[in-house]
Amino acid sequence: MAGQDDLDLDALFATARRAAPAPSDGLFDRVLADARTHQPQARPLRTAAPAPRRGMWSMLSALFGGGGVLAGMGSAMVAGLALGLLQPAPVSALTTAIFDDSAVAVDLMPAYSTMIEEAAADE
Amino acid sequence: MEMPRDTLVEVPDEALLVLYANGDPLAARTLTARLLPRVLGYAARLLADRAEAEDIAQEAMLRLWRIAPDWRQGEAQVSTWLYRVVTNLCTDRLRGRGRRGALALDDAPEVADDAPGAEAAMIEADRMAALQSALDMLPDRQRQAVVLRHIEGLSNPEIAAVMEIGVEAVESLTARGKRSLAAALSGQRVALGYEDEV
Repeated sequence: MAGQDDLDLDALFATARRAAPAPSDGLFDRVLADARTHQPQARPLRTAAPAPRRGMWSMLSALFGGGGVLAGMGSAMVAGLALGLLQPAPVSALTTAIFDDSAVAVDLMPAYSTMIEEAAADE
Repeated sequence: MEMPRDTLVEVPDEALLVLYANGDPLAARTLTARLLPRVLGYAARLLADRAEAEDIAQEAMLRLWRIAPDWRQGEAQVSTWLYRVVTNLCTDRLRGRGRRGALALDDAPEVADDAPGAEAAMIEADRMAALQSALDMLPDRQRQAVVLRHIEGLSNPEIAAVMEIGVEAVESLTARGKRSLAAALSGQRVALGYEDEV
C-alpha cells in the first residue's frame, strides 16, 4: 500500500509540474514596468581611455624604440630625426617643392631670412 | 524569410541580468518570460492563494531588478537567488497570516460539463486541489523542500542553497514531507478516482 501511495503521489507531482499557473498578462506587464523603472541608463560605448599626455621627449624616444636610445644625441639631431620621420607640413611642402616641377618657394624661417638680409645689408 | 530576432534565447540568466543592468532593452523581457512562471508557481504552492502569490512574485522580480547592477557573477544562480527570496517572503507572509490553512486555489480552470474531456479535467482539478490541501497541512519548511524538489525540480544541493540549510537537512525534510503527503492522500484514493485505474 505504501508503494501505491508513493506512485499516486509521484503522479500528482507530475501533473502539478505540467499544470504550473501561467502569469497573467497583467502581472507580466507589472513586472516589466518595474524593470523599466529600475533599469540603469544605457551607458554609451566607451572607447579606450585617451593615452596619457607625455612630453615630446618621451614621445620621440618611444618612436625610436624607447629605453634611452636617444641619450647620446643632441637635441638638434633628434629634432632632425623627428622632422624626417614625422613630416610636419612645412617639411613635406619643401619636399614637394624640391621634387616637383612646379616648385613653390616656401619660407621656412621668415625671421632667419630677415636676419640674413639684415646681415647682408650691414656688409 | 526574415527570422524574428531571438538572439537572447540561448543566453544564460546571469548574462541576461548583466545585459539588463547595462541598459539592454530586451533582456528584462526574456528574463521575465523565463523566471516569472517559476517564481509564481512556487509562491502559489507555498501560499495556496493566487493573488498573494502574484504580489510575492512581483516583489521578488522587483528585488532582482534592484540588485542587478550589483550582481556578482559566478557566485549564485539567478534562479536559486529568486527561489530564496520567494521562500523568505512567503514565510513572512504566512507568519503574518497567523493561520494555517487551505485557502482555495481559485484558479482551477472553468470547464463546461459537456465539453470533451470535461470529466478528465475535473478529475485532474480535484487531484490538484487534494495535493494542495495536503501540502497546506505540512510544516512550512517541509512544504518548501517538497515543492522545490518534486514540483520545481531542483536538486538537493540547489534546495540547500535556497533554504540555507545542509543537504542532509533537505533530504530529511523531503522524506518526512513525502511521507506525510502520502498518508494524507491515501484515504482519498477512491474519491480521487484512483481505484478505477490499473
